[in-house]
Amino acid sequence: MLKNKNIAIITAQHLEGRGLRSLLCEQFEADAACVFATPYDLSENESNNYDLFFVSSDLFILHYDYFLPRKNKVIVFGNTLSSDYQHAIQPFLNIHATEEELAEQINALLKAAIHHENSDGLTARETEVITLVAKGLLNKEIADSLGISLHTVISHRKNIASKLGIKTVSGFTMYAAMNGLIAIN
Amino acid sequence: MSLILSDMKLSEVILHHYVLMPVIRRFDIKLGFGEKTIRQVCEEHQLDTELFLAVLNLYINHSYAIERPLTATQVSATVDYLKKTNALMLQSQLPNVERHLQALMGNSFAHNKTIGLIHNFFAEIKKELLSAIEHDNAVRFPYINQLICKENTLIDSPAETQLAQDPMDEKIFDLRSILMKYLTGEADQNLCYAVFFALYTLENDIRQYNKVCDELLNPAVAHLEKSC
Repeated sequence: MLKNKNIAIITAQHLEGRGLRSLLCEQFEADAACVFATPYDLSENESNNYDLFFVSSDLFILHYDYFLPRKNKVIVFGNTLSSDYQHAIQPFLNIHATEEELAEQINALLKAAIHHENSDGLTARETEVITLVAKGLLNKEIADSLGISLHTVISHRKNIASKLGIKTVSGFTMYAAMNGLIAIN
Repeated sequence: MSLILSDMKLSEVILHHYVLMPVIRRFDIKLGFGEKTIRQVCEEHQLDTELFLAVLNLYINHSYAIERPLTATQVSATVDYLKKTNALMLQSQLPNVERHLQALMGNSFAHNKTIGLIHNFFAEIKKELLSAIEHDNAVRFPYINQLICKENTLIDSPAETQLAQDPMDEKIFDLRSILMKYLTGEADQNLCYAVFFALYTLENDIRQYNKVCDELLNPAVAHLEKSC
């Protein structure tokens, strides 16, 4: 199921990461899974190449800004469902379980993740752009903050508009708020 | 259906295009017009048939070209129509959306944040709409009236209100599509439909309002300005 997929497992608990990796490897053929201690161990380039992130709940909260643009690819794991990110509607893997239960959970999450990705089809970059638009940045500021050209920002915005069928800035902001890209206040 | 013409029966036209109901309401035509043609109804209500047809056809997306700019009398009638449109928006359409939204919020769990967001977005649109209507009534329409009476020697053309903001009808369109696609949690479906349709009507009316301005009123005003 995960054959040839680039998978990053990010946790401060090395043993936990190793365990999850071997489980993914044995049960889901995830032969290309790597374990990292923090998301900053991945370069920008590498980050965009990963198809799926398994992130421990504490690191997910700590590096929320990093994971937000990639939220369609993130599965959070931890012991209990922490109330801190319940609002984020992020796929959650409860690791306090037997091997069979774990496999079952992962299976269900993967199916949901694939479904979710297709539902609006925004790329990681487009998600970053829409998040910044929603925060009220101008095209020029978005270009500077992402290190891309103004022209690219405009073309991203056109693509987002056609994918979502939303045209106005207020609409983008609302989309971002409803989909957990920005905080609701 | 093709172009609406003056010898058609008003009842048949409305039955075919029910979206025109609010238009005839704004022209103060009451129900019960029997088998009369559009020309007869207009004569009875002292309406300009040509203008009436132009508005009806614009509303159903037919471009009904008036060869020359509107006459001063027609401009004044158009302003009356637009005033009536604004008044009805304030009196019934905005309160209508709000009533449904309030009921929707009341009927849903307090923690349904998405409905709160929809409410906030609508509040923003409402504020913008109110200020646009205020500008029409306080600045634009009086200016046009003075133009018609040729008293404009002292006044300048008011600055256009079209700001860098997104058009309101597009915002409402986005609000509707977000309501449809991303509403999460428990929500009363019946009320959701009500909100959706109330928003749709409002959006369509704003679009038609702008069309009447762009295609009928503004060219005529430009013409009047030149001739002064």
